[in-house]
Amino acid sequence: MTAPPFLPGPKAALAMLGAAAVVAFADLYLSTYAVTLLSLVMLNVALAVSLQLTNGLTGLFSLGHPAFMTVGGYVAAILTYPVRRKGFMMPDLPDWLATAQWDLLPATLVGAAVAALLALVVGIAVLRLKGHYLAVATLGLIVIVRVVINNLDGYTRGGLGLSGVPRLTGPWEVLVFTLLTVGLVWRIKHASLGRAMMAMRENELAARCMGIDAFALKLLAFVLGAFLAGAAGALTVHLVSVITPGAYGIPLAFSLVVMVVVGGSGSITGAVLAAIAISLLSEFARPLEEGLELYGLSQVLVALGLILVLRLRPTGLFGSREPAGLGRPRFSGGTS
Amino acid sequence: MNASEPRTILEARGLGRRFGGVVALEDYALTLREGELLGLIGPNGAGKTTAFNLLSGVLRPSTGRIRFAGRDVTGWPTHRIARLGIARTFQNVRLFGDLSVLDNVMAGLHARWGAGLVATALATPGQRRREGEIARRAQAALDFVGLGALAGRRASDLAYGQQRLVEIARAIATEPVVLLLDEPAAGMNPSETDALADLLRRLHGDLGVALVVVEHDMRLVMGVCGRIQVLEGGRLLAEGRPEEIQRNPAVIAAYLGSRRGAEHAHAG
Ligand SMILES: Nc1ncnc2c1ncn2[C@@H]1O[C@H](COP(=O)(O)OP(=O)(O)OP(=O)(O)O)[C@@H](O)[C@H]1O
Ligand SMILES: [Mg+2]
Repeated sequence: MTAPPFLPGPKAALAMLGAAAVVAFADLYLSTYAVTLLSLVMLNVALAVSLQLTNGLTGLFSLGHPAFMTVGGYVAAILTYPVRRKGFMMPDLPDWLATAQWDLLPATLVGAAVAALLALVVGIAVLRLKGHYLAVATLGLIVIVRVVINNLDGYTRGGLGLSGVPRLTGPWEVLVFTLLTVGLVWRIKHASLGRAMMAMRENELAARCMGIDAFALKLLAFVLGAFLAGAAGALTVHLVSVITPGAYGIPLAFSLVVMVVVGGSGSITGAVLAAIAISLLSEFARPLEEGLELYGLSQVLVALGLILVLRLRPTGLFGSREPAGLGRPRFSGGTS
Repeated sequence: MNASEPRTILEARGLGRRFGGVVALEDYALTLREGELLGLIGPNGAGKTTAFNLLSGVLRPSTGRIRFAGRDVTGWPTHRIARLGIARTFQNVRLFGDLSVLDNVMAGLHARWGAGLVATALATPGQRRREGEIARRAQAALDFVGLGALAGRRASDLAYGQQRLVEIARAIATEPVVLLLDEPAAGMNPSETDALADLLRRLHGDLGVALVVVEHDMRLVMGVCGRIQVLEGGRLLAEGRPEEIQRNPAVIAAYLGSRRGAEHAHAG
């Protein structure tokens, strides 16, 4: 099979068309609430798949996605915020920022880049160390980012959060981002780069003895994951139009890790399905939480679901694999 | 053998390594010529694996220098040593267990042939060519060790002896100049060991790889190696041709005698 380069193969194209059809249907016939919910589910899919790259394929244990989302979200929101309200909301902004009102795409890219830069600094500091330093460092990062944003109130309005962020994100923008994210991680996984990452996850010493630069590869996986999380944060803010310092915190980090583990560490299909299931479960538990005044019920359900899956299938739904038929033909001497 | 000596590819002088108070290796010297097949033997705990760990850059030496093709590479990071063309296997097999046999070997080819992030994201023609090259070379290496038919199996599902062969395939796929094999016959039955001896001769003869083999199976070592080093208690006890080693009283006392290996050696 020789699909033209750059473009997705036939199966991927079919999956993309299917997703587009769902979005088109929702956009035409369903309520604003449903469309927003669909967009948030797709964003969770992108977040879970990008974490799958860092944690599932490479074997790191990062909890940092909420921190990167927050950074990407705030940076992008400051860039797109209406100029006429900036003076009041963000009095400390330098002139060039106070007079800037960017479009969604450049703002998202810059937000993602700043998140990636932050990951680069953290990664250089801790990825050479053995053990669970990354988990601890990224957990700390969530807290640090919140504190810093709280205190930079001349730029961020501190604890009040930023409201009135222009609603520039719609379901189509989210769809494109999610498809790009899934496609990127899919291609990495099914290429030499992904094999090197998985080799490192399976046996780092052997991988290094085969010439794989473990530190550089971990840094790449961590920074790329952060970039995608930053972009997701930027898009989310312009979907829901508000962001607060604590909007994306430790519970979200937990949910995303659960999506990766339940789907199967390293399985992209698994992460997609787990993200959809867990997002919908959380959403539909919300009225129950309010009705029964059992706040936190959805978190408890997610945790119970995790325990259940780990009891019945310790490697998650799909292990590290993709379902048969979705993968590429293996022994053709090339890739399709 | 002395007629026209090939050039020295890997050289160690005064190599030593301590772990706390334990001296695992002391004043070890090695001169490995291109295409040579050297045996490294010695009783348990003699320092053989430690020597490999130092030569492959897994551990930094406490003392001494290592030169590769005349270049001082002491203290280089592991992956850079590997990229010079020094490949190895491990005494306790270290495969990428959850990956397929083919993927194990293909992963080993990443350092040399793998495409970067941008080319991978765009699936450029160059990236596809590299992927094809990786797959082709990996399959050829598996065929060379006789595991071509098992390419699609999960590595950790294979029998132990086969896993050792996957490790060898992974190492030779990178076309190493020097290959360090740590007890390749451990866990193999006699017929597998015979096939291994044949494989080592082909590696040495057909591919011209310089081999260092750590092995307890004396018949194998005496049968294939042109030169043998004996370690005991972290020190070099003797070095020479197999016949010389078998006659060396110190070696017999320290090692061969105790293991009744001398008779085996004569048999082989
Ligand atoms: N990482 C380590 N930490 C502490 N001591 C070690 C370490 N590696 C090796 N040693 C010690 O160094 C000595 C040499 O060990 P080494 O593994 O090199 O021996 P060996 O010749 O390979 O033995 P075997 O035939 O059992 O594999 C032993 O006393 C061992 O306990
Ligand atoms: Mg050993």
